[in-house]
Amino acid sequence: MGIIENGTISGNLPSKEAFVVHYPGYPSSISRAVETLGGIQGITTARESTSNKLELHFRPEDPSAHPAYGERRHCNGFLLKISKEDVKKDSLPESQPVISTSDACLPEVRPALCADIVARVSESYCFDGMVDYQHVIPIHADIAQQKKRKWMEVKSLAGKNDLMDMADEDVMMLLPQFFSPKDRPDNLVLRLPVTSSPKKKDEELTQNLYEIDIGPVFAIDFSVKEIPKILKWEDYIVPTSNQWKWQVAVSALFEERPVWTRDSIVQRLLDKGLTCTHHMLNRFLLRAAYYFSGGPFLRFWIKRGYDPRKDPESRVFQRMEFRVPPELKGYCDSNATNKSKPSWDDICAFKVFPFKCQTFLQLFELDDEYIQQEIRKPPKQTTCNYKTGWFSEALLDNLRLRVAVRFVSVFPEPGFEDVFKSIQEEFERSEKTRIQKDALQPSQRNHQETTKDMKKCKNTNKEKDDDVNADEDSEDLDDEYEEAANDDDISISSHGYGDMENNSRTYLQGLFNRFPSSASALYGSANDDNDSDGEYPIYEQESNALDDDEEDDE
Amino acid sequence: MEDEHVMIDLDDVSRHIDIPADAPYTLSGLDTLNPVLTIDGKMKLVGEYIATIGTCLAFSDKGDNQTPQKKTVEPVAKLHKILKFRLAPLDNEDGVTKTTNL
Repeated sequence: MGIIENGTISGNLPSKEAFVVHYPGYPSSISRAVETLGGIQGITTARESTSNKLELHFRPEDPSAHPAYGERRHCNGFLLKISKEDVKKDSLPESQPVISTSDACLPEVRPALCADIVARVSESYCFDGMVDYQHVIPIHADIAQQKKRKWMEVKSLAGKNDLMDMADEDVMMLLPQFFSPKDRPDNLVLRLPVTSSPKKKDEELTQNLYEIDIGPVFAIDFSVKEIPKILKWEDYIVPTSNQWKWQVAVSALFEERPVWTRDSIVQRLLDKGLTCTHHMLNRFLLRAAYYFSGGPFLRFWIKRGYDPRKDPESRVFQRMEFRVPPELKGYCDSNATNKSKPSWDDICAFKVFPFKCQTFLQLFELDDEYIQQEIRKPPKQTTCNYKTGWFSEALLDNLRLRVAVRFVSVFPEPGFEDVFKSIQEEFERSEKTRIQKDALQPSQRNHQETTKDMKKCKNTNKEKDDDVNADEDSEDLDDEYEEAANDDDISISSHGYGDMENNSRTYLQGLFNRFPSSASALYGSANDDNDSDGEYPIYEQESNALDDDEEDDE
Repeated sequence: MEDEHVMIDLDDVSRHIDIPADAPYTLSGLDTLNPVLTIDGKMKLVGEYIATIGTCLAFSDKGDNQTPQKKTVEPVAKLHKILKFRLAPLDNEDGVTKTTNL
């Protein structure tokens, strides 16, 4: 060991090798540290291992302790050892400057500090990974800090006894908690979840795939001349595959009846225990059916090869819609996120109130005797109208109000009897209006009445301001007057067909009796006709917009 | 006898110089904050003290001469201080005073 003279030592660099462990903590003793590193044997084994890993268990007594891994690295360093040897307290400091020459001749009495480079350090273990959370008592951390600060005051080393006071007094208590099963930080790459794409993209994709073979089947224009032809899907599907079973089930539905709502198809397949994805169902449907983008069968699936525009019997499959009255929309809003949707059968049977503010139904499926009777009466029109199909607008309006009466009657919350009553009254008025119009024979009269009904329908749908309400009140008065005048006839009509004939004649006589005033009425109707023509496009546009909303809901 | 150890870190200069084995060295200024290490009489390095992160444990590789295959390790020291050396700037050379023992 070289004596430090004037802060200087000399020597030769050693050949002895050593390695260091950058221990991530403040162990209470070297022996404890060695224990946490697996003991002498564990360290020796790690030195010989090719994995270059040194395990550190902060709690070697705990078998579930998660180890931290030290990685072996090359480094260039040396180990400097500083020690203190024989100390002669009193005489040396005093006699040093006076008899320095003579003291130099006596090496055995040389004092104080010695230092020497004792080893070459060529390897180190560094712990870069994540470790269990360590709770270090603050007082111990402070002691460690103080110890470091003392080292920074290097001057105190010369000729002082500070080293005597730096005995290892630490008693560290580690209270670790399990933090993470991960050992090293990882770079996480966010990936888009593999979920089904939006419906429109599905449709586009499917259409692109099959366009050449199958032809367009989605959202066909109602005025198209030719409808999609029957497709031999048996050529595309292997009989032993699951798809075959599915396709047979779907095609069988269209043999049962040619027009279906999607909800009803899904319900029927579920009843048979068949479930599949939205995308797969589209594939099965397009092989068997198509649908129009507008008109009385809007977005209903129609059997390939069948044209409902040419078959009056298709009138029973036409579309009907129910819109929740404004007073009751709070119920739909509160159930917008309700997962347990009512079943389609329950909705068609008017057993539950729909959760949606707008529901599209098929007349054929509605469990209502009045509706089923009306739609099965012989058709009065010879062509299928884009707006009303095979029915008159008055009849459709009457049926729509009937649907509303049935749904509102099962509204689950109390306190809305007024809404039900007003819709009931409106339904009864529309029934009278329809009967009156059915009794009219001249075609001009029919045209004029249709125009009036159209205007009324728009007013009802738009729910305009008080002026419209005033008009409705006026109509109420008229209806009440007519009701009073024909009270006996109405009661009689409920007893049979013969009575119905009498009722019709009575109405005709009443109208003929008012003939002298028909001239002014005709003039007024002409004015209404002009106004109605002006407003027609707006109504049409609104209807399409609502259809788009319905599509979005799907 | 009570011993203290300091780790001498030459990683920053190892790319510039080649340290031969068994070379003579002089370490001066141990009573200052910036000791100076001279290796082989020509390479002059200036050091500064830095603290360890956690604790630095030094071990020696202990080989038995009679049975070379059998190896073990021995703990040498626990230290909290590192002397990190870098190449000395040239203008410091004039200020260095060398002292030799007589």
